[in-house]
Formats: sequence, C-alpha cells, structure tokens
Amino acid sequence: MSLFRIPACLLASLMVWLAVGTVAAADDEAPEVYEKVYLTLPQALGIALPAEDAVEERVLAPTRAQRRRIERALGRKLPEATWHVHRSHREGRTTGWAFAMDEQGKYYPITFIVGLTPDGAVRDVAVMVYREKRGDAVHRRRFLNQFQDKTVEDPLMVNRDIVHLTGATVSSWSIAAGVRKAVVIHEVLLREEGSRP
Amino acid sequence: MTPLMLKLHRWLGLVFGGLVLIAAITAVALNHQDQVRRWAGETTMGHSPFGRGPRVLAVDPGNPLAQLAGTDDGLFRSEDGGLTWEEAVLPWPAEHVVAIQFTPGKPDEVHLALAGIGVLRSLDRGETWEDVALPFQPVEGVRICGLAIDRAGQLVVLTRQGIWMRNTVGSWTERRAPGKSGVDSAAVQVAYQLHDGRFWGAWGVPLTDGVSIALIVLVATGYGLYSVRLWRRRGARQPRSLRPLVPAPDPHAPASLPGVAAAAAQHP
Repeated sequence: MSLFRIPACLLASLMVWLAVGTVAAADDEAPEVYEKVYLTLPQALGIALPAEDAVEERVLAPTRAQRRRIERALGRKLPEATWHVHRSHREGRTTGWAFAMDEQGKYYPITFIVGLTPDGAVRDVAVMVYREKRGDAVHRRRFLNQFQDKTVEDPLMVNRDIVHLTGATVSSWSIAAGVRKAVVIHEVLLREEGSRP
Repeated sequence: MTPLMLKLHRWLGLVFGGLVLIAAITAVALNHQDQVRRWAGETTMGHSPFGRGPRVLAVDPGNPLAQLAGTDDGLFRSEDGGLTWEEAVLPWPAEHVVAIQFTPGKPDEVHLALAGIGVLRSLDRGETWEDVALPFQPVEGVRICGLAIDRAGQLVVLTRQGIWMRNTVGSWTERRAPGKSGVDSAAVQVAYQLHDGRFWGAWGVPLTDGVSIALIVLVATGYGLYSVRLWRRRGARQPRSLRPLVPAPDPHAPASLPGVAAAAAQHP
C-alpha cells in the first residue's frame, strides 16, 4: 500500500500546481510593463549575417512608387519614411542583409532581426526584445526556424506556411508580418544590388 | 477482467485510434497545405472565393464591377463584376471574414471584420489595410459577428457580448442587453483559458517540466523500490547449494515423535 503513496502525493502536488497556475493565469490580462532583452544589436547581427564578414549600416529611402509597390505587396500602410538595414560584404561582394525592426505585438512592439541572403531568402530570424508578459515563446527556435529559406514567393502568413504558437498568436502574426516586410523591401529595393557582384 | 470489458476496450481502442489517425493526418495536411496546393497545380493564393466557404460580398458603390468577397480563409477582389478574382493581401491572416462594408459617401473607404482577429480599414478600395483599434480583444474570445457604418460615419461592431459603437471622434461606447453583464465569471474565464491555448501558452512549459520530472521521479523511485525489494529477498534467502534437500533430524527432539522414531528404526 505504501508503494502507492509516492505517486499519489506527486499527482496531488501536480493538481495543486495546475489549479494555482490556472488562477494565476486568469487575472493576467492587463498589459504590464515588461521587457526582456534576448539579444543586443551586435549579437543579433552575428546571427543574421555571416560572422566573419564586414558589416555596414545603410538607410533605405524608397521613392513614392517603390513605397506604393511595397505597401501593395504587404497589403498595409507603412508608417516609416526610411528603413535602416545592415549589409555584410566580403571583397566588395554583398553576402547578406539584416533588417532590425519593430512590429506591433498585442500591446507593445516586438524588436527582432531578419537576416536575408543576397538573393532575398531568409537566412535566420531572431527576437531581440520582447515587451509583453505572455507570448515570449516566439523567441524559441521551434517557431523561428519555420522562416528559414522562405522567399518573397512564399505567403509568409500564419496558417498558410507558418504555424503559430499557442498562447502567442498575435506575436506569431507580428513576426510573420515583419519577415514578410523584410523580404518584400529586399525584393523592391535591394534585389538588383544584392545580385550584382 | 471479464470478456465484456475486454471487448469494450478493444472497440474503444479501435475508435480512438482511428480518431487520432484522422487528427494526425489532417494536422499534417493543414500544416503543409501550401505544398499540397502546389502539387495539385494551384498557386499559393487561390483564384476565387468559390468553394472556400464564401461568407460575405460587398459591391463598391462607386464602381459596381468592383467587388470584394470574404471567405473562411481569405478576402478576394474582382474588378470585372465577379468574372475573375484575385486574393487580397492582408496584414493579418484573413480568416473568417464576417463583414465588408463600404463607407457611405466615401467610396474609397472600406471596413473589413475578421471574426476572431479584428477590424481593418482601407482607404484605397481594399488594396492596403490598417488595423482599427478596438476596445476589446477578439483574439481573447470576444468574437466579432458583424459590422455596419451609418451615414454619419459611425462604426458599429456587433460582438457576441454586445454592440460597440465608435463615433466620428473615435471614442467607443458599448451597448448591452439589459440584465446581462456580458462578462463571464472567473470560473468560466479559467475554463475558456484552459481550452483556448492562453493557459497552456503561459504555463505549458513549466507544466510539461513538472509532468516530466514527476514521471522521472516515479520511474526512478519505482526502480529503486523494486531493487530494494529484490535485494531484501535475496538477503533473506540462504544460498541454494547449502540448503539440505531433506531436513536433518533434530537430535534433541523427543523420541515419541513419529518421524524421528521411524528414522531411528530404519538406521539403528
């Protein structure tokens, strides 16, 4: 009989934990000031671009027609007038692009970096700063790895070719929207330059 | 276990095994529907709203040939009265379009309601969209059921819990049926959270850790207890080779015992 006491105690502890967790999660709705820095910009650039190459920062200022093209491809208005992008190069040849960007999450913006190959395929995505109490699971590789090798030809949309994370639905949409923005901006503004030797 | 129980288990196993199989196959198909569509010769974006659960249709008041149709999984635009369609790109997943409404007097402005996502507004007849800030969160269960705009430009959003109205200045007021608070009790909210993913999203990792650690402890202690029991049994036993096959007669036993008397008679 004593053999059954240990599993019974463990089960009871688990149920108490579940109940406490559920009640704690119930009154957790109000947006709180919370900021978790996962990566600094140099660390993020190390992930998004080839590590051994030189990196330079550049500002992209689209013409009205280019902006219109980008907005139509994304299906949304873009508030920014310019975009900051990092270019990695070796012996004068572009080896990658990195977009450090903010996308609106449920309440606060999420800061993340999107690394692209010279052809515009996604090399890697990494979350730099997450500012909400829940949903930070989007910084995990099991979510971010889905974006690798995606191009402008892909929908880059949750429930199309990206599986969102349960409990982080809005953050999943935001990251997907940001990655799509990066590949579309690359397509409109940088593709020709990236493929040039 | 009776034969009836065995039969019940067998059938329940078969039925639930089949359900698990269906769920697993459809999950894989849904996750990779894009590839499936490519194999089937379809492009990533579908060609028409038909056959994809069409729900709502709106005609541009300034151009009757321009139409917008919403489905369960997309928004489609036609410029030739519905002969050809192209899928509109939205910033959010275009799921469960429940209402499309052109603003009276502003032919370029159109609003779109997505049941579990929110309301979007376009100022260029549906080419680009922007999020409309709502006083509630559809992703948290306050689903949108409809949308309307009156002549004064007031936006009216119908939800499962009441009606929200936004005046031209941008402030929202809520209208509810009298006598109903519209807010679920804490217990119901907890129940919803257990099922809609928010609870598991917040607590899934520690809970999985807890269950895993509990399983590890259970298995380890089980092995430990079994080893202890085995060791005790072995320790209590004498080595088999030293054990006599026939118990030796006790020399101090009284002679009246029948077994001892018989043995003494056979071996004097």
